Amino acid sequence: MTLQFDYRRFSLTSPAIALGGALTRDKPVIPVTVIGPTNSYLVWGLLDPGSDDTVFDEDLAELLGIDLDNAPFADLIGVGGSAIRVRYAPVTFRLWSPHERREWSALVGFPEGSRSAAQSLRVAAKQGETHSGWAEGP
Amino acid sequence: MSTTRVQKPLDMAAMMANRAAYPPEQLLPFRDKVIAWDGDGSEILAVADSFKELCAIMDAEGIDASQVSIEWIPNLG
Repeated sequence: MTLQFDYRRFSLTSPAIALGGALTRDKPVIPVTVIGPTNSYLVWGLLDPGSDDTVFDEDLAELLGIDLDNAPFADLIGVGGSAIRVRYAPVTFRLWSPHERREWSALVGFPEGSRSAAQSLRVAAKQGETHSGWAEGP
Repeated sequence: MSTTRVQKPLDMAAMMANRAAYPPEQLLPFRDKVIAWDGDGSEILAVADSFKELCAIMDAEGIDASQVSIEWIPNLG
C-alpha cells in the first residue's frame, strides 16, 4: 500500500513569474517523526526526490541526543556551487498517514552550521525508487 | 488573573486536516521561522528562529514537545 500526502500551499509576497504570476506555491511537505537516541520530534519536512541524501539541521542532532564529533562526514556541493561539510548519523523515521504508519532506520546528514531543524530538511527519495516507493519504507 | 492553556493531544488525522486547511496567508508573518503546532494542527503554540530556540521556549512554557508538530515556514519570496 502507498502512503499518500497532500501538497501544502504557501503564500508568496511577490508573484511567481514561472507560475504565471501566482501568489502561492504548493510543496510536498509531510509530517515525519525523527527518532534519536534520547528524543524524538514530529517535524514537517520537504519531500525532495532530487536530493541525494536526507538532511536535517545540525541543532536537531543535539536535541535528538546524537553526538556528531566522530561521525563520518563528506563535503557536499549544492546548487550554489559551494561545499558544505555534512556529518552522518543513524536515526529512525516514522511516517504517518491517517490510516497507517511505517518505521525504518536511515543514515541522515547534518550540515555543519545549519540552524533550524526544518530549514534545510530534505527528505530524499531512495535511489531507483519513486516517491511512493520511498514512502512505503523498506 | 492568569489563564492556563490546555494543550491538545497529538491527533494525526486532525492535525493533517487542520494544517491543510490553515490559510497560507496567515503564515506569512512566520516566514523563515520555526513554529510549533498544537496537537490537532489548529493553532500555533510557539515561534522561534531555530529548532533549538523553539524547544527552549516550549520547555519554559511547559509545552509538551511530544504532542506538537514542528514546521519551518519557508520564505519563498
